[in-house]
Amino acid sequence: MKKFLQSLAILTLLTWGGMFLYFYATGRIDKFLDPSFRIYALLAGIGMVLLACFNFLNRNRDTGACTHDHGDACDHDHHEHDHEHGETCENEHHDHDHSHDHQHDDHGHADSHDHAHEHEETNSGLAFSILVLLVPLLIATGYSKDSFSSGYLMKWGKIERQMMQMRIARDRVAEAPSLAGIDAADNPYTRDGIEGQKPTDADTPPSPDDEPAPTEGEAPADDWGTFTLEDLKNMVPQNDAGEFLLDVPQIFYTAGDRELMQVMEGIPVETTAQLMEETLNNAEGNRLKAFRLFIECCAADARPLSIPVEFADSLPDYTEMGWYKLFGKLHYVEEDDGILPIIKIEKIEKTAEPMDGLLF
Amino acid sequence: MDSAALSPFTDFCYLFLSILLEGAPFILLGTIISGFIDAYLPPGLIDRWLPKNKVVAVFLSGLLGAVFPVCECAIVPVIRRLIKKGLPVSCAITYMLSAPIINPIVVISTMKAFSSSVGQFSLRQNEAVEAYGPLFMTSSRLLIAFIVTVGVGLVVLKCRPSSILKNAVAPRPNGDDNGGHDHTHDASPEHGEKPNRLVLAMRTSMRDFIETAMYFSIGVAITAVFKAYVTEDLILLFNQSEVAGVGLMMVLAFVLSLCSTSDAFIAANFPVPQSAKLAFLVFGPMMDVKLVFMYLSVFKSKFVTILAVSLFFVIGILSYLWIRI
Repeated sequence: MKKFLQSLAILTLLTWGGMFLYFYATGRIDKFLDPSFRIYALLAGIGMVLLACFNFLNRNRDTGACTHDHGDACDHDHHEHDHEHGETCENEHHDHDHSHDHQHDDHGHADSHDHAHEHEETNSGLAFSILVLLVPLLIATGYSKDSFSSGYLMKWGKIERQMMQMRIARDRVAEAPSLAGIDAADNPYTRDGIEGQKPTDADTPPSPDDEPAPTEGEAPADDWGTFTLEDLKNMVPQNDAGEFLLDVPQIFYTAGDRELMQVMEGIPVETTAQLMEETLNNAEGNRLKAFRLFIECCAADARPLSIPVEFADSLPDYTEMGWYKLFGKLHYVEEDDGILPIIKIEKIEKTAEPMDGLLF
Repeated sequence: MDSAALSPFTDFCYLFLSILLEGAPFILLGTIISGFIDAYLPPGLIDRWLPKNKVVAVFLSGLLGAVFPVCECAIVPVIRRLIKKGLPVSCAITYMLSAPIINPIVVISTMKAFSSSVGQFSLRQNEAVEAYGPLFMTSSRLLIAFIVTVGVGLVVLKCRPSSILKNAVAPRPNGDDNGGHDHTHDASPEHGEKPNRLVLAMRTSMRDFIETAMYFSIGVAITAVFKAYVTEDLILLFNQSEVAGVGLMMVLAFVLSLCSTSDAFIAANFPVPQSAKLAFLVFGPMMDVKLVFMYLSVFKSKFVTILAVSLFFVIGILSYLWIRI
């Protein structure tokens, strides 16, 4: 039994190692882990296989050290026991023979027992461990589609958005940011952006260098304290039509930042995203949800960051969770006590999943 | 991908595998180190290195994990052996609680987990998108763990070992435990061969990996079920108030029984306040479902109960206050 379980433990380790190597070699791992973690998975796979092989090759070697602990599970004191190393001890961690002819009288067991119960527990524990290690792994590997269902994305996308709204609401209490004064019509950069023209000197806001020194009691602005269109252009590429190529998460995280919203209100944007039904604040039924999955470390922490996209009339024909290029103008709206970025769509184009379908 | 083929069950499989692929390498590393400690470190050595001043010894024990890193699953049997060999109980408990957090592997994994790349989406280049960045969260985790574990050690210093330890674990006057069946004999007459410590280390590593990975798999499965099937209303409960978030995250840490080498990856993006994440990261490696059962093999149940309740409140309060400070 002991040998069998030991072999099973080695086989389990080998299976795990093999599974890690399989995920790495087939590229499936790309759907699971951030690139920086993939090398760890490879090394772990190699390590597990080597460990299993080493233990297999040395399965009959005597380590010369008995590492098992017979006494604690039944909480009795063995110090008065006589040991007669004669009978076979079936513990997995040592191959030598010894017996347990105990004459202890300070616990509730029969005077003469041989600890077979504990060895059985050890064996059954190991068997259970192996079962727990193998069954879920093999089932999950077989059934995983390496992608999330729309229900999952809907649920966690809603949570992400509500979390953002809660954060904005908290900031509002502290700083009272609002959309007051943020209007595309008042945004000198908007017209420039829409026309795809370079900003004129008149449109260019004063650079931070030109700004007067902060007065006493006023916190000095840092380098990016005043966000300008030039800053945006320096950071974000534009397509031939002058539309800013922004990812959904970039747009998502501008909500609540007054300076960013002032610059970005009404600008033309192009973004590539998956489209889903919009279930929040969609009374007129002319909105969809554009989302991207952002992964920090592994798919389990994937965050479906989404923004609503609004169509002038009815919804176009679209494939749920399909990939689209979206063209339109970015606006900010107040809804549910929060501020939401929204793209008012002018055109959509079906497209293939980009190389960076998952954002890491 | 046919979206009809996707279901909460396939979500569960995807989630389960992703956490497993991410966390298992750290578990393997931890168990290999644990195997070498088991094979090459004489049990009395740590005790000899500890200063004679008991208070100073407790403080140093809180940092021992940095030198002898052991995860929470592996440390309980190690501690049981060290106590039998005469290591002061206060030092042993301090080491037991701190080592799963204050060790280099956990530092690296926490740093990795909280190295948020959300900043890449910020249009403000110098914005501290992660005001609670990896360094802050990692150092906070270490600091609070150190304060709490040393505090527990100092309290235990005032207690009689017999009121804490099970009889079978109580140290012998001369540190001899040969009769206690915790054999460490190098070569008995029956053995004949010279001890092969490398084989022992590798066997221990494999055994520890099987055991630890089992608990990890169970924790991962529970996490995956939670993420795949839980409703958003329940998640948002965690955010109803910060205090509730802190408490609920510690309950979650208790139930999930995650390994300290990989729990940060789960906490990092849980949509809860940072104080709740911090409480999760400090409380979990010290007290969870699997640890309760393991602790009961060393300590009396009354002590384990008091320890669990005390840790819950102390860590919760410290985490809540620390983020505010």
